[in-house]
Amino acid sequence: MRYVIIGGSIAGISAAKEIRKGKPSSEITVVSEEKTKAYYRPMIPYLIEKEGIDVAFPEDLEGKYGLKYVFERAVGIDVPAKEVRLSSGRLVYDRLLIATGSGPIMPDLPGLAGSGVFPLRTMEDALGIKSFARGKRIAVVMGGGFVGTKAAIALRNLGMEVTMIEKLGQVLPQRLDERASKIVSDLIKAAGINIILNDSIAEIIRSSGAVKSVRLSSGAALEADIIVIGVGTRPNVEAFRDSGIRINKGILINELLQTSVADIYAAGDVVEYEDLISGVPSVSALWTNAEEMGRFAGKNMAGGKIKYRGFLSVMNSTDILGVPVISVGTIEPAGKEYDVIVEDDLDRYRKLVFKGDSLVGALFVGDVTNAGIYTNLIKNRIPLGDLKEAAIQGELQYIDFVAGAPAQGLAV
Amino acid sequence: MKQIYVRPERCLGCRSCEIGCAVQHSKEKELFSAVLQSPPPMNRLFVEATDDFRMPVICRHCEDAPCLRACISGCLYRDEKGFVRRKKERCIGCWTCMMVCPFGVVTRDKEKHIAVKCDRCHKLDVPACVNSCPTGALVFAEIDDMPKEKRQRLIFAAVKGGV
Amino acid sequence: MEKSTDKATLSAIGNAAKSGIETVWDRYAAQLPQCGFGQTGLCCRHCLQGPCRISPFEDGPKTGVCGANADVMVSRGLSRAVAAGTASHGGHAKHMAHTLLKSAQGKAPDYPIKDEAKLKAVAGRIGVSTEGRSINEIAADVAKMALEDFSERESPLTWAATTVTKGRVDTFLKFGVVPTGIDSSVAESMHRTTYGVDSDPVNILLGAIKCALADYSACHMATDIADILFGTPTPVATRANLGVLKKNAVNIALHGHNPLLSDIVTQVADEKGLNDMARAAGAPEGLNIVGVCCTGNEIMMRHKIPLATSSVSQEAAILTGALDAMVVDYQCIMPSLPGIAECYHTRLITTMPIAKIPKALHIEFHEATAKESARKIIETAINAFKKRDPNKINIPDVSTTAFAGFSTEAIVAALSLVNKEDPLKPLIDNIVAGNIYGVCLFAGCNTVKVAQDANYIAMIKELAKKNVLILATGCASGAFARQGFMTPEATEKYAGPGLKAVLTAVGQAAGLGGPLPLVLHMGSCVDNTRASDVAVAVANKLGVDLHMLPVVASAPEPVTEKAVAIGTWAVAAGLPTHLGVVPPVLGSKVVTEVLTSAAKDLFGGYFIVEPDPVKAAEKLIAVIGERRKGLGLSA
Repeated sequence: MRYVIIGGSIAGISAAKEIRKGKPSSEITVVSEEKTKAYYRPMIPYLIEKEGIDVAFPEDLEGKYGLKYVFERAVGIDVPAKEVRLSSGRLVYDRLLIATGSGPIMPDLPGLAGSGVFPLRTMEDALGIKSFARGKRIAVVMGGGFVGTKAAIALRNLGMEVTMIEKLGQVLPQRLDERASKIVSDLIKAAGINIILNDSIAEIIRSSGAVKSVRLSSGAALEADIIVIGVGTRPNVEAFRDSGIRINKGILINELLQTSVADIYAAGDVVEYEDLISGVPSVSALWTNAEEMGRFAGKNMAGGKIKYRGFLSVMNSTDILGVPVISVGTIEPAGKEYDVIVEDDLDRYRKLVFKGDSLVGALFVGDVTNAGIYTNLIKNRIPLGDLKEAAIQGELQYIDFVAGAPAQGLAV
Repeated sequence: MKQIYVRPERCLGCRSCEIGCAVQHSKEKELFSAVLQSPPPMNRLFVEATDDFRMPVICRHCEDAPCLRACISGCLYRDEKGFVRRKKERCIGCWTCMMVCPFGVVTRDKEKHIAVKCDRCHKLDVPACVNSCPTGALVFAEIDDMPKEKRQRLIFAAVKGGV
Repeated sequence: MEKSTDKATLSAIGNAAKSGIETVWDRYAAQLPQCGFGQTGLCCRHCLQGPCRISPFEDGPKTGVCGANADVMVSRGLSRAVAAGTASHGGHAKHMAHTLLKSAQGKAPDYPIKDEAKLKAVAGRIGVSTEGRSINEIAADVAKMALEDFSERESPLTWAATTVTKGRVDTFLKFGVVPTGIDSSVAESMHRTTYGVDSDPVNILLGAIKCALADYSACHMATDIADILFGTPTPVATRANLGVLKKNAVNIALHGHNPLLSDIVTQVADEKGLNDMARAAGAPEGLNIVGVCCTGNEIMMRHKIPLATSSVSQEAAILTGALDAMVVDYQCIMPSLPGIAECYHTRLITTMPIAKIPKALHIEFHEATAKESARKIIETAINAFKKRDPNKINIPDVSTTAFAGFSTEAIVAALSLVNKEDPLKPLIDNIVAGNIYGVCLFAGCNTVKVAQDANYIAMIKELAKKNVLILATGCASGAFARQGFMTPEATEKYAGPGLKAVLTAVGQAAGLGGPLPLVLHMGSCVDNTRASDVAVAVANKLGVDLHMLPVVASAPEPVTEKAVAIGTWAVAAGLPTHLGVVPPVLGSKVVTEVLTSAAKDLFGGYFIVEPDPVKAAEKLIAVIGERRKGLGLSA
């Protein structure tokens, strides 16, 4: 059996490992457009500001799992022939995994094309920013989401004057509620980063080809030497549009992570699937989810039949300038069926969203102790029963879930 | 492989295991210098209690470890003995492991800005927590050496935990 | 874990192991690891909302239920330890004072006043007139004044105010730590450390010091009255260690603290009738009285009674299989003794109404009928002897010569043989000249946490080499006696040239034909004020205060709350005081800081906590050097 995996990042690699577990002697080929072996993508903002950090996967994937790499771009699939069309050549598959991930959305702006404007999606982008920023003074970051925030902090840590521009009324709009966003933006400002909300770049102005300044939708102008774009990602599906695979925003899959075409699976950011809580078809752009999907896809491709229940499209953990921030599930619910508990103390902010007997969302800023217990409740939709009060008080502990097991010899 | 088992009916909640753990993870691995160490060493297991009983909650080094899978920096890895451990220098303090550990046994070293978890005292024959327990509530044993009914409890606990 | 460095002890506990008998070392091993909260002083059971404990590390509560933080918890715990120690020495001293009063009133015929000179000296010091009064009149007044020191007085404690330097009195007044009653100090400590009273750790520690000074007074009183009733010790030569038990005698060990019991039993054991009875029972050598622990020191100094062993190894005496009775009063009596005695023919006899142990034979001891009780005890031992199992007898052939009995008066007497007019002069001259680099008082116990005597041995070798004059009391005396350091030979072997010359000169003058022993045995653990009296006399003569003298103290293997109390008053007296075992205080930075550093600014004395004996000796030598510099002497 010949396995081909398009995409060499976490979804592809975790699938490959599972396939190898189930099929010790099959041929597994990884097609990677990026000319590097697998690395930890969430780490790339750190490449901008830190020297000598290692983001590569520590394992020797070729040696340990017998993966074959093909550094080519996949341009399409010839379904009847069961072949992947590459930028040069073709690759025959018996089972195929599409794990091409997502790519940065680049807005259609006057002056965008040319040097000094970067997305931040790949290692190459990060190293490009690092080298371009050397000797420059002013950076403008478009987008106040996760990538924008990380980029802004990294550039600030390099000593640049940094302005971050967010179209909406708060930073990290998808991950945080207004209050948490305020806490985080205060931290960012305290680090010397300028934040402009409710505005956007309308034009990039160049002089002799070099970035000079930006004009904002509001009419304001800002000097700029380098611009980083972080306004979101979209699934990398273009190569598969004419293959017959059903695609909406992302590639549609069933609970075995199969696409609409036989022997073709999809996993990771490229996929569109139900959100575990809301049931709404969603695209995840989260490392943890991609790892999980890849693992499930790999098991099924190797002959398993394990059902994927879906992902939480919000399940983020990060650290903003020394303050931990974790958000999971539904943070800003709309509807009377939700109870919202908020605790807003000097050094911690905590929000829990309940739907009846279940926890559906949790947000922690400053103190993330036992956060995983809440994530587990949300993800596995565990009814709280008597424990709801403890959850409300923020006093849940693991033992609450083993209590009642009178217990001789619990493995812990 | 030997596992750490808890006999909650013997746990008095004295937290000696926590102290033993913190001491083992201090610079000089000795109580009095550990107490004087600044910042203080951290324990990696936590005595929890309900009205009915109490027990230390420890990293299980899960076979299917959520922390290991979620780690975005390549810090967590499974060592040759099967323990989930850290390559400390790779941790960037993103707390993703804390977000996903259903036992709440990964914590934050605020000074060093890295995640902290049990390393099963991989250099010791018997983990420090087990060694520190004055009542035998913590046992380090092969699963086959545990009586059958205890193994059943073990399964029960895992199901309820809902990893 | 090494248990002991004493060959006799090791032999005896070897017997125990073979017979499956548990000793203190086995029980310690079973306790390990010990609770870290307790070890750092971070647990509190002072109220019924507790127990509370504070984590010494990052995680966990930082206060108890009431809000007491680590500093409050640790200082309260320490204060209560000092109070317990003071209560113990107080109990001992009060027992003596009552007996002295009964003696003076003719109600305790077995306790005549033996040392009239000491009685008069004490009376003179405390302001009891002696002119034209009978001994019993003087004794009654001294006893009454002693008893007055227990309740709350309007003025400072007599036994404190009259026995320290003027400088100390001023310092104690300045910091408000002058005690006005021994029992009332204990009560005050208990009060201020109960739920919701004193919550200022520094104030609590000052309270502990006040109580410790009451402990000092009790100790001094106990020594004074013991000398009055039983005689002030003078140097004697005897033997020490388990080899002093005799196969062919009825062996009776006296164990505990108060000479009120041991001295009487020792006196009665000389009676011919009882010895005949012992011989008739099959013991050709009659009765053989031996000492254990501090009451052993008392009868060693006054009656040349050999010392069988010390506190931590008390069980070893029974494990020889040759001990027919162990007679105990109070303090440091292990509750394990009856269980071990049961494995042999040995009778364990308790004597005090406040100190009974199930399965022991209780023969209550009263002042009015002391000798009668003593005879009954000896008869019991003789009867037990008849049941000895010869197969179980295993007396280690280990014992050594030991000189004991260097009371303050005895030291001054020895020095006056060198300079009759000014006996302190030779001592001071030699300190000034550097022949005596400084003085170290060893006190305290043997602990199961240190291989028995190991710290003593390592430290004395270092200190003696550097010409530090060594004094010892209590089980420190026991350790040095058993290990052969209370001999002229030890002086020859270990003393530096200056010290050797001085000890030899005094020894020659005293007609010993050789040097004084390397360690001067100053008494039991209640007798530490004998050493402070020497220091006070030297300070007064030099016109300086105690905290300036090149004098240090060390408890290398401490165990009891009494040792905590003594250590605390030694610090208040201005002595740098070494502890070889870490006390339960490290959980509080404030308390640790005050005890090891800030105390120096207040009192001149402070604690040096150092488990490594060689490093500890180095530290003490360095401190002596500093103090010598302070006095303008060669460092």
